[in-house]
Amino acid sequence: MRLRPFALSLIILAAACGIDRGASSGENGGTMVITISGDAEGFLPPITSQVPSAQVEAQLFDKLAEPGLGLNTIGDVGFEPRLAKSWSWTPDSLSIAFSIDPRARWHDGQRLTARDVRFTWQVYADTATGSPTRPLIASIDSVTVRDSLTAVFWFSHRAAEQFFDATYQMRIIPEHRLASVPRAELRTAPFMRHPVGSGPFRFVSWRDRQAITLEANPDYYRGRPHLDRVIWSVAPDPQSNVLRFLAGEVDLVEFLRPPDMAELPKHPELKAVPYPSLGYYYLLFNERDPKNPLAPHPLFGSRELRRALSMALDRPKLVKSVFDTLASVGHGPITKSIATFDSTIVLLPYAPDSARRILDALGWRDANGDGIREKNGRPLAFTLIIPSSSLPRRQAAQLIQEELKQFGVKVEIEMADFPTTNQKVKARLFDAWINGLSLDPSPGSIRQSWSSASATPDGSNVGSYQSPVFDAYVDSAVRQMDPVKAKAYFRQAYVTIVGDAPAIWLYEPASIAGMQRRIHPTGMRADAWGVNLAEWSIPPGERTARDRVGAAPPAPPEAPAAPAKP
Amino acid sequence: MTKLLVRRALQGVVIVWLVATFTFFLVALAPGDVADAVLSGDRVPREVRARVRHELCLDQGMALRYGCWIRSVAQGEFGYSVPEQRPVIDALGDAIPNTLILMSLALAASFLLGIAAGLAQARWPRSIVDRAVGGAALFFYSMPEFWLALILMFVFSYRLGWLPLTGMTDPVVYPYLGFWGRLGDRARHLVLPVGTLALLTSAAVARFQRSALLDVMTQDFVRTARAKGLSETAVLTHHVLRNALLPIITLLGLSLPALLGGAVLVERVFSWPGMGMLATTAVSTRDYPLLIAITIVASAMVVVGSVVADLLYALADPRVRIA
Repeated sequence: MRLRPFALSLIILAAACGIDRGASSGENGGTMVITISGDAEGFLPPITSQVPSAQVEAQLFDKLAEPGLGLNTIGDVGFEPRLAKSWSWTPDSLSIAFSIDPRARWHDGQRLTARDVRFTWQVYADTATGSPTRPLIASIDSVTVRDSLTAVFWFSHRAAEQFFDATYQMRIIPEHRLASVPRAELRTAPFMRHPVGSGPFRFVSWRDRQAITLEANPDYYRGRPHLDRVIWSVAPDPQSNVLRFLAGEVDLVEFLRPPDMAELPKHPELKAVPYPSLGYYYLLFNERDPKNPLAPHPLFGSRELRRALSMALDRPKLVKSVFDTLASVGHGPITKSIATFDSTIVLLPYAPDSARRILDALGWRDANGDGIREKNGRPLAFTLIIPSSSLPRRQAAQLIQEELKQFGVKVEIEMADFPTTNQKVKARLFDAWINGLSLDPSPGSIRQSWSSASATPDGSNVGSYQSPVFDAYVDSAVRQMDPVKAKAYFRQAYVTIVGDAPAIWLYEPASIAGMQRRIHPTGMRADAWGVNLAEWSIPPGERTARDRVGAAPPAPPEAPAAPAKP
Repeated sequence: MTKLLVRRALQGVVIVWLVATFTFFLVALAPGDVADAVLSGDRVPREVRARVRHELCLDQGMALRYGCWIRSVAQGEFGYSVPEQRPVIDALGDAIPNTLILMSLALAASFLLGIAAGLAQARWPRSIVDRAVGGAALFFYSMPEFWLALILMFVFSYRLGWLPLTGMTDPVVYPYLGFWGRLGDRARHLVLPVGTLALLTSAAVARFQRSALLDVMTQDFVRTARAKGLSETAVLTHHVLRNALLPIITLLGLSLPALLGGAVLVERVFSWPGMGMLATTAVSTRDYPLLIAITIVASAMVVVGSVVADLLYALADPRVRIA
């Protein structure tokens, strides 16, 4: 048993007794400390793009509506009201009127109005702002103010995800605080470091590379959050990050790795909480010759060869070796959390005999007996590039190397740090690459990495997979207003791409958060585990001295009123 | 003395400029840039990346980039840090005091510890004490700093629970503490990072100090002191130590680069928000303006440390002053 740090206990006791802060009682109370590996870059949603900022902004700034846990993005099915208490579509679907919740207030007490909504869109859409989100709201033509509590979104064309675009992509920001700042100077505005939002928690402090502290917003229009405080504490070193969780210094670590999971049984006060994931990993084939981008890759330009290599790899064994039970075999360019996921799609099987037969039929044979197949004097060999910082990818690459060797395929592993790998891949100077993608909830985002339109020199389809059939199915799917029909088209698109094997779909790691057992989470969504943080709680009986630091003692019960004199 | 100072200051400026220029070209030749590293997602539009590259002159040739950088240095901002979303000078301004606190305490602790260990070894040369202290010094001297940091963390924080694992302050409790409480909280958070750096540096100090003490102990004036009937401890502390401190003053200047280098990893492991932690983040995000500025500050600190050591040496040894 660990010795209790006596000095720390005294400090906590002193702090807990000394200060009176806000109304914390009964169901409400407690402090949750989250460990993060990087610091925030600021808190202004149109500007920021990194995860730490996004996590904090999710608690500071609300959206008009949120997708449900099913993450449907087509139409408005499953969306839950936030700042918009209701909405109505015009019959032609070219505009949506959002009614703002009249109880909504900014953290400085000002009323949140439709003007703020219009201002938000203007900031996101202005090229001077340089918002990373701007291309994602391109379908919105304008936003007008019908009255102080009604904002109307006008769209340039009908689209299945126009409601998603209007609500999911933008967090509403205050016009009265930001209107006077030139758009090009927003990223250096004082607001970035002292944000005023409308969300369940309000900003308290940000100490650089140390901690970001938010406190419950008692005037939140949807009711006060249960937790008193949420603190993001920065620790860039992965080992330290896990140690501080195991030692009880922090309450939540977003991801637990397989070695960390083995430690959990020794700590009864900790628990593992799985939640849905949008991440998947794959071995991408470059279908263009790195030396001559106009020509097909000498190996991977062949669909049959790519299929043979896919069938040569025992992916369940690979996933078991690297992750044990903490990942599942990849399902294609999609994860189980995407609304259009279809478990009935049949992937290329592990079929070693078929793989050998295909390679033989393609003319790849080991004529000189050196263990490597050749064709026209060229060995069946390629370089597999991976970022050195990823241990699972290093392990997977080694297993792939070993396994393909048995099929007469030589794989050379090339490791580099992430920016170097990234640069090589963007310049198309690679044969094969193990990559990880964290998907956008929109099934249509599949176009960014796999459509022919993105197979340009500066596009995101770096493997240059091009299939008019796949493109047509996806284009049809994203135009469908009916979720069922859209899902059917997406299914055809998935079947097409899986059959073409532009990549070997390796694994989908499980997202498992580590938490102190006293934390009671709810509604962890694949794209944003903290989207319902306002509803997380620490029951009174499970609170520790740290939970009471800075909180007011529960108010004594009111004395019964004196009986009225007759 | 003034002449010496001016000469060393001018030399220092040239050295810092050379180091900064060398670092600039080294990092400019490295693959990738901040736009790739920080704004690499599919969501980020190409024009945003292009604009960032243009603002930072990353779309220019090497000579123009160097000119851009010189201009930003002349303006006193040292460029703009995209990951930090603020001028480099602001990010540095937050980090430098934290590193100075860590390094000054580590320097003081390491010299006190090292000198004490050297004294113990010289007091009982070739004894069990000498061998034990020498062995311990060699053990720490040969240990990588991040490894020692992790071991200390594991033992004193994770296993024993005596000290906090990471950070400068307790994020929950600190804001609600009074002056003394805050001081205590900061002190507790300093123990492990300072201890790690001090143990590593004190090992070298101890070895130098032992050797210097043993050299001085054979001098005639030491024999005279003993002949006067002084105790061995009095001889050692009043006569031998004073004369054996000159090599240690030299080591003071030489220790700064080692301490700074060690601080990079130690700050990262202990999440100490100083220049070292900033530097590791700057490398991974290809934040070149920040990385070069850190190099400038670090080299300036080493130069200043070296000048201070020279001054102390001159003050301690009149022969040097005359020369």
